[in-house]
Amino acid sequence: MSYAYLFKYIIIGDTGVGKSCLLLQFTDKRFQPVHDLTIGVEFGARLVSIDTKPIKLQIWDTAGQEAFRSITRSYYRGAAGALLVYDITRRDTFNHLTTWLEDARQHSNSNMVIMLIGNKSDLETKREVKKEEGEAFAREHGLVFMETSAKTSDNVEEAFINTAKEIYEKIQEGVFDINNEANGIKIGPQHSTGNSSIPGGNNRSSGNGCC
Amino acid sequence: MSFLEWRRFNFFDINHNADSRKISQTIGSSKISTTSSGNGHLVICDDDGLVHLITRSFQVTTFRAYQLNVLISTQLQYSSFLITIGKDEPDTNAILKVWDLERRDRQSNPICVRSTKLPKSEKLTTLCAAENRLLMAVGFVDGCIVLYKGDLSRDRNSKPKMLKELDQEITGMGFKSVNKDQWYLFVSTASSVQQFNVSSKDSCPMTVLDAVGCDFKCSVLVNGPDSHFMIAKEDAIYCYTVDSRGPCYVVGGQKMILQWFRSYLIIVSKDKEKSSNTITVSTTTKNLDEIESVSITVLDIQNKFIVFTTTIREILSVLPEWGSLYVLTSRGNLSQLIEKDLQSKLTVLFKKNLYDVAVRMAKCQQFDSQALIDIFRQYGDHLYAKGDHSGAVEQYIKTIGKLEPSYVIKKFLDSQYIESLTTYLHALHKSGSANKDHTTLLFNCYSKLNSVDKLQEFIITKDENIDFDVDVAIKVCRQSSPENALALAEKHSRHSLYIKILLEDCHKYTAALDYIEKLSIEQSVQIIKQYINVFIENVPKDTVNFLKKLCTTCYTTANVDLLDHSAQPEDFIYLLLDDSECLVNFLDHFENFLNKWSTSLLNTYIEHCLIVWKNENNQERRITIEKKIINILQSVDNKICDHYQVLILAISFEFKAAIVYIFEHNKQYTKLIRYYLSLNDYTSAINCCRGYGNVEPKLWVSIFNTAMIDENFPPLMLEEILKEIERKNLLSAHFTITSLVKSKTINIGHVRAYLSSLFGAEKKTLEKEKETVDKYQKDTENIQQTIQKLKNCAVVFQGLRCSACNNQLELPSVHFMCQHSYHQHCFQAFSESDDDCPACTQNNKQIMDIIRTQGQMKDHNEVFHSQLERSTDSFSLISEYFGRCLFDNLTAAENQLAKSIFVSPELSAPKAIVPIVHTPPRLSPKLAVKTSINPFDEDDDDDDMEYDSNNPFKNDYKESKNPFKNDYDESKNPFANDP
Repeated sequence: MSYAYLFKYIIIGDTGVGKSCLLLQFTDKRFQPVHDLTIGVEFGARLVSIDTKPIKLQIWDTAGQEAFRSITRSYYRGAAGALLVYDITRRDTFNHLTTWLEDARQHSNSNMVIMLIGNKSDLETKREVKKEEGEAFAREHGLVFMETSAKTSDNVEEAFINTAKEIYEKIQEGVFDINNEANGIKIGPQHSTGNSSIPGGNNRSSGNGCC
Repeated sequence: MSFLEWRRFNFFDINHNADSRKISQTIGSSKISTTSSGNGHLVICDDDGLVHLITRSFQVTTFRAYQLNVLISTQLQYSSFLITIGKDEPDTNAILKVWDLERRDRQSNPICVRSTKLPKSEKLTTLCAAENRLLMAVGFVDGCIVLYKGDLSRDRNSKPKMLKELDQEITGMGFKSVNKDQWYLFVSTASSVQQFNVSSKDSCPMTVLDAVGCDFKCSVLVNGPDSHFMIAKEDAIYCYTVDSRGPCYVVGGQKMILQWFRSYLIIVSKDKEKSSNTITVSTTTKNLDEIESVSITVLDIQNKFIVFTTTIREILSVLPEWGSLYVLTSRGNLSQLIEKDLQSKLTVLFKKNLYDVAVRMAKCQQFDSQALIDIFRQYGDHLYAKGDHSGAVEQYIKTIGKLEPSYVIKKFLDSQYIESLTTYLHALHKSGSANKDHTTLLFNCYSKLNSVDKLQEFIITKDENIDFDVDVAIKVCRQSSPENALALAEKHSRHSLYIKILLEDCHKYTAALDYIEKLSIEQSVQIIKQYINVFIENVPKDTVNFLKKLCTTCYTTANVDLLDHSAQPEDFIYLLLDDSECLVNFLDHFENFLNKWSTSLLNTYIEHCLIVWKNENNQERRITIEKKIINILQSVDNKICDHYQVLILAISFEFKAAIVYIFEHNKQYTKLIRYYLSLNDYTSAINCCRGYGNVEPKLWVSIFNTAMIDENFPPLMLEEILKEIERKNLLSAHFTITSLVKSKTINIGHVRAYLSSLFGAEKKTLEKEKETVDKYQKDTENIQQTIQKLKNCAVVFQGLRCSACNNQLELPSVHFMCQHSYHQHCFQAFSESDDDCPACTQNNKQIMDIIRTQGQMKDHNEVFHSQLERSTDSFSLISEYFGRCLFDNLTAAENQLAKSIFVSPELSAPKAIVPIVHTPPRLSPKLAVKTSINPFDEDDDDDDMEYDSNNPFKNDYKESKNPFKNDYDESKNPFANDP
């Protein structure tokens, strides 16, 4: 399980938009129609290949409920990418995007790649949010947009991989400081240049606090 | 609040007072300082320096470990080592001791295998040891960690490593191995979580995992491959993996103890409501108010529900051992939490209709599949009862393979559930456990639902692993949509069915042919044979063309093995028998392979060529066909072509060319002529005769015979025939003429030439014969004269020289009637017997032999008869026997002769001219005989002898006219006269 880079992702969005299902579809390639509420933060990982390089994606799937917001916020910090998910059949989830985005921008690394995802694209008949609206929102806020279906696995793979590509490109461009693990990026064991943890990083993360 | 999010069940039974108060009795008034469990023991240490080992049956073994007190202990899970830290004396560094509980000394106390003084005097908080028995760490209040490496059961003088990166009290530690020799030490303080990589020899790099910490006892390392280091905070349980944060579980309440048991997380916490205003960091100090409201919660992390929760006072520690969980209170009361068996857990879940949870749980615990199926079935039944039919089907689908499908099908047979039924059946097929009836049912469902698309999808796009009875499927499909059936048949290579559908339902004959053409020869042969009738009926031309192609392969292929399976044209000709033209056309295609044809095929071909020929009105085409047939006959070798069969055909179709060819080819000229004659084709017949007359002269005879009978025979030709017959001497003139006479049509004019030539020839013969007769008569007369002379005239011996030595004859001399004379000495020297003339002996002997053999022959009556029977010409045989003197009595004649000879010498002797007759009496008879036998010998001897009385020759001649009677009489006579 050697990898060139390890990217940390976080999935955020209102409760019931299908965050856990997206993760399950991506990691286990299955769909569970009845999914228990996420209590806290769940965790998944998968190895993908970008530009022929093996990249490990570590994904935190957060609970969407307001009550857990304080806990989940602490997970924003170490993430290189975020999937901001709304449900195309529920307009309110779309309406809450601004709050989520603010939250994410506030608590995370400024370079974090955020992808806007309109989930449940298989339920076309119940659609409440037009694709164009999603696109417009993404354009406005500088996000990448994609409609997915965790049920049919449509675009799920692409959503995660495109995000990874974006992060990878940013690394190539030098936007990310790959030696700072607080960015949510880690160099794989065989690529590691033997740097131990930097006390400065430690201090900084301590300073940020969790809540 | 967030607690409410977890589902609650009660999967544990609690057994208060599990130890019958033995522990509290053992401990007595001392205070429990530390507990541990593992390797079949509960370990309870008190502040009196004693260690109590408790077995499963609650037998307590107590030994003194320290003089003063025991501060901390840890028991390795899978080995017998117990590690304790305690003090023997106050105000000194604590001593770490390692006990081997399996080795006991005389007092049956465990042996202390290691005793090391700690390097620091500060208060220690935590102790942990790795399962591999090579790593051990002690945490101190000041944040320092002392790390021992190497076999912990041996007291080595190697210095322990001091890790001093932290400046806060160590609240929890755990060793975790990632690979075999990659070890990490997780450390929690009150405000941070970090890991040390303790694998390397020199440095132990630290990684900070999080900036939250936990209290003492509120961290646990979960063992297992997917393990986490967990810490309990007030809001949640946070998990950490080796390199990062992991998941987090929101569980409210101020945690006091965190413990792991099987797949459960045990949380001991203060009740939220009561402790909300008294948050304390310290865990060691126990406020009475708080203690009273302590609750224990067992959390199933995997399934995400609380499986047990209760309130127990003064919980000191939670010890997992012997497959269950023990809760020890500070007063020494031990309660046991017994996990319910799965069945009863499931029952609980079933009661709440939480089937999905049940399934998940059953799966987690490796429940056997039969039981799982049962859960699915119950779940399905439940959903069905609730009216959620599609949901129910989803569950029932999971039972496929175990549960009898009819159980499910029966439930959904009602037409309103047909969609669900379809789904189930589809899944059934996918799993490969569908039988014929299921296939039928499914297809019927599809057709009832009018979902042709789905059906098509099922048929065409379904993946390979769907298994169903294709034949049935095709059958069902045929009823609704032949197109689908076709697709199905094609996909599964049911070629025969495919063709059948195409022919019977779609009536696409040419398409069917095209399809067959694509198949392998073997298959196409099989199928075409099956449906050829239909094809011929509907698309004869295309069919014939197809067959042409198909059958060509059987001739062109070099592969011998294939021949058995390939199409032979004879397999198909029966189809075309009604349509000769078609058949001929078909077979024409294989003309190039004539030599490979079978006899019967060839015959059929010729027969149908003949039919076509017969029905053809166009003269030109007739001629072409004629040529073709003859060409075939000529080119094909005799083995294949049965000429007799062809002949029969040719005759029945009056196909002259072939008949003539066959007759000629087989040299049956007679038949050929007969055939010509029967056709009244006299010219051809004559030509044939001319051609083959030399080889077989009888041809002429047969044509002649016909000419005699047939009234239409052109008489002009007769002349030639007669000429040939005459020339070749085939018939006797007599017969010819007799035949000619009988003929009614032939005039003398037609045969004049013949007759004249015949008569001319006859005349010539006659004349010739007459000449011969005359000659013979003359000869006979001469002989008779000679005989007469010999009989009646004297013989004068005038020989002057000896016939032997050719010298002047001198006396004594011997003379013979044959005019040979010898000196007596010469005669004696030459002669073998006294009676014979040496010169004539040879000749005479020969003649005598001939007579003798002829005489012998007559006795062989059987031979004669057999020869007579066999002989074609009896007359000539009989006459031949006559010529052999069959009826002469030779011996009698001889005897007679002998008689006469005896007489004659006496008579002849005096007649001799020679003065001295020394001739012995026997000598002269010989002479007589000689003359009689040799009539042509010109003997002019005129000696008169007394032969008259006994003249055998005279009588003999007479007797020839009446041989039988007189012969015997005469033969008797001589004997009678014999002296």
